[in-house]
Amino acid sequence: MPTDTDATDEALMLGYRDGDAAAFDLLYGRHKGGVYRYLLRQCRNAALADELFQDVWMNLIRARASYTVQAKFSTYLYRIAHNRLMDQFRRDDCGVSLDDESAPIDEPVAPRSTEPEPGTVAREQAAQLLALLDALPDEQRAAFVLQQEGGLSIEEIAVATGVTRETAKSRLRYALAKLRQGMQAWQ
Amino acid sequence: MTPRPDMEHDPQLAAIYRAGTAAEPPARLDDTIRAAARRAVAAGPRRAGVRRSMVPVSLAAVIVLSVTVVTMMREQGADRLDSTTLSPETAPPAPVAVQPGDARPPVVTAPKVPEASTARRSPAAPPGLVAPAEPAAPAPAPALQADSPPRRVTAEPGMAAPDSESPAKAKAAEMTRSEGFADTSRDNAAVRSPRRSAPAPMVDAASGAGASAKSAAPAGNALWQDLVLAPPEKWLQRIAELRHAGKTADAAALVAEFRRRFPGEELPQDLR
Repeated sequence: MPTDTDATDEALMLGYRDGDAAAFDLLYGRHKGGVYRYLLRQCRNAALADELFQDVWMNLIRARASYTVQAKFSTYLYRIAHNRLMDQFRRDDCGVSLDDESAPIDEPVAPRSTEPEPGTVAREQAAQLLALLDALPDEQRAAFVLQQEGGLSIEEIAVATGVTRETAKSRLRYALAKLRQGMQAWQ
Repeated sequence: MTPRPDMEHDPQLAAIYRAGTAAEPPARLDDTIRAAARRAVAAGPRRAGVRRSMVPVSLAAVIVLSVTVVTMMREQGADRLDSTTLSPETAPPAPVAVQPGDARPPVVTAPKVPEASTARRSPAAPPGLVAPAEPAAPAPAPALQADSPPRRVTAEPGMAAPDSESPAKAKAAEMTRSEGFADTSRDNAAVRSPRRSAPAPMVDAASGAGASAKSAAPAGNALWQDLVLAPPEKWLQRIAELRHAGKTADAAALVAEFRRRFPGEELPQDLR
């Protein structure tokens, strides 16, 4: 039975659970980039991100037999990724920062005084945003990246990170506020 | 960048973020993960198959266990019956020479009896694995086997049997046996009949796990098998017929059985 490319993530995962390897390929293709970038942004180490990324998908493969649709697949997937990250953080004793919403916001990087090329501006803007993102506390960064990469809503971010909706909302708001503030110079 | 009313979404930031993030996992990771997924799918049906086959496997286990228990009960009962079967009471001797002191009936007509019994008792052959009710004799009693429940009546060589019993008779005989009506100790000599050369049904141990030695006694004496449910008058009539025919031994056996069954009935003077 050919796999429907328009099928939902949940349908694809159910198909994979039932033995459809092509469904997994589709699912993997849809989410590999987002999951990888989420891990990369959080651990900031490409080699470690590779290892975590592989672990996340292996965990998903191992858990496929017990998969049931209880939430959006992306929430389920990013929950696995988040848990794996937490395990790594604990193991490395690098310490996930607490809810440090009062952390100081980095000073915005001033744009160049000379007139740059349009493509260059976009790249520099992106670089500035990523720099600001790296400076965010882990939880706030996670909330932002989960929203951007996984398309998760506040409720889904809360589920994926194992916190209440209000906490997730607060983290996201702080993250956005800091990023906006840091990017003001580019407006 | 001006603050937006929607504090949880910022399309401008999202656009900048997407423009600057194009990191993708290495191709080798893609291959590794996809291969692992395919391997898991290839191995998956086994696990799913195991889970799906749990119910039939469980059922099969229950059936095997049940058959084993029943077979063991039959074997144990058959062993008990063997000793009874081979006693002169239930296996009237054929008109061949019997060694003095040999309590067993002559096995000349059924040489496989001891072998079958031995095989059944052999520890090398677990009871549950022994095929139940294997007729060792070349000529089993087909009528009884066909009409009676196979788990209750089996053909055994060396036993007296009605050659052409009706199903009703077979049933009555079976009831007699299971009720333990036959008293095998009193009328050994009387029961001996020249008809014993044919294989006969025997009571199977499956006739009741709680069957005592009394009920296990093979009361399948053809003399009164068809009288099991008959009133006393019929018994008296049969006794008279036997006497009239000169079969005094049979008549005596029947009288003994009659007295046992109907202790309150008066035996007519001419039949005593």
